[in-house]
Amino acid sequence: MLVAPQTSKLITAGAVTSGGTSGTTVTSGSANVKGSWTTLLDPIPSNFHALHLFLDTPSATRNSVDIAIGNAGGGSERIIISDYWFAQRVSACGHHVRYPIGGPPGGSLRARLQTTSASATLGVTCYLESGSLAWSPRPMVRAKGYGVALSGVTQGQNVDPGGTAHTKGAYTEIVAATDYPITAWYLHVGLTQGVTTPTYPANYNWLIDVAVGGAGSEIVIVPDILMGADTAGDFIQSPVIGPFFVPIPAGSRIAVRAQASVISDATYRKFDATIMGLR
Amino acid sequence: MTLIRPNTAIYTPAGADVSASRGTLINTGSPGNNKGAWSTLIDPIPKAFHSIYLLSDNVSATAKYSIDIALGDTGGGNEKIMIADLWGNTKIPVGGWTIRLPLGGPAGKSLRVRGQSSSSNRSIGVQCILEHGSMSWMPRPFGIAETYGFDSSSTKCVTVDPGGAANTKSSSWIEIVASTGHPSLCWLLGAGLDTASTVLPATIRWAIDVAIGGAGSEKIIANNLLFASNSSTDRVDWPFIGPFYVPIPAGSRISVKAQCTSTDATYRVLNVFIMGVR
Repeated sequence: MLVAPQTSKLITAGAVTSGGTSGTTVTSGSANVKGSWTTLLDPIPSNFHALHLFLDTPSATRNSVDIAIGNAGGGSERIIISDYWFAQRVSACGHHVRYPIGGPPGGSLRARLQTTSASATLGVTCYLESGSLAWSPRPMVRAKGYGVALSGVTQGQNVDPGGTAHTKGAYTEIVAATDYPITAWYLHVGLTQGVTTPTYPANYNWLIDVAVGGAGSEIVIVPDILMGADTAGDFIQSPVIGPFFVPIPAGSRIAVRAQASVISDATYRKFDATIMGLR
Repeated sequence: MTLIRPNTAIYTPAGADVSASRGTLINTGSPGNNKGAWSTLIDPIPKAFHSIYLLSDNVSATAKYSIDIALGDTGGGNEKIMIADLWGNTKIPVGGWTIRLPLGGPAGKSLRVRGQSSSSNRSIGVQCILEHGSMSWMPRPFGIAETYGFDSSSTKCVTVDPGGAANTKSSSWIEIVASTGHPSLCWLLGAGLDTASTVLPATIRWAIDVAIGGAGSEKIIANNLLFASNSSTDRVDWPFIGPFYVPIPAGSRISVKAQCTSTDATYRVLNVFIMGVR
């Protein structure tokens, strides 16, 4: 047998297996207000260099999740993932994403939630990769959601492919100026604003461009990212894609445009988008 | 003032059909459970790449299916499979998933795709996005991803029944593969419904342990990996989790056990596979 020397191990944080099978239930605060911190793991037993996030069974349509490292026992939370945003049909479930984010042992791993509804719930689980750094040579420390509107709403920036099928629409600005350099990023896509219980009238596909640059001078950094929605599932899949290792300088404007396979319905051809930037 | 990093990756879409706003439409083989013909996603590949994203869109009918991705000659032919039998089970027309695999390949080849389904002549849209440029974020690109537990004669994977006690791990381990043919430097776990679902009765969640070792000597390498499904989508909503960089030696027996929120004898049952990357 060949044993590879660079072995990582996985640490499960937050999985509930007694009396249920889910992530740890995290509850939002008042509508569009962050809830209190909930512990996923305390203490974190060893350094980790990558974090897999799994979210299940949201009870609200629009959600924003924070993950933090706090003191043992809680308190003094330092956010490592802020505003992981998604919007989809209630109870449609199962988000998985791997972040090359690291952290130290000894503290607690904590989560909190904001949604459009008061006291909504979401299952949150993390899987921490620890051990050999051979596969994550440069763990990052922070993921931040850009374009997530949190005051009075919990939504992204609305993207309209426009009225011509299979033709790119106008750019929608995700953020006017990033406050930090981004080393890698993810695209998040979710249900368009104003719809709570989606019923897609047709099967939709989108091809999405992500660009940086001033208005009118956008440069596409990743073109034609495929997303889809349909009349059976009634939510956009996949809700997140990445990481894309195209660094974005601090101070950059990020914008998104899309084309759609169906444009006849002026509501459902649209979607909301955000960018999760890692540094 | 801006800070510009030198280690920029570049991305090339392969197979995006901009005239139809979808991926390249491929047809599975006929009769069912046979591979279809190879289709080209990009030819030639303009630069060496070191990671690949695989994206799908709406399938044409409820079916179990698998996808192969290969490097072929320019113009096609001599396909060398780099992603073998990535499996899914989905309800018409629910589709759409993405996965990033740390696989590399050379410039100058064609990138090709084919599929098979449990029913004949199904279609599915496929797109890849190739990552080139700086390798600082992917220092060791791999070459092949292969699926353990896939049965090409039925387009199914290993049946995993959590058993009749809710939220309780099944008593015995279920073998995915008796002996891996190669070392896997990282791997992902995939799961789908065993049945061709039409109406799931409720939201259902599973937690799966993955172990290596002989029967009776299983050692857990990942525990409580969660999957979920619900009555609107009627499928496992995110059918893959990983890749996890926990190497599995060649010659290993891989097995799993699961627990489930549901005791429904039909819908609690999963098909499960391990995709090993080397």
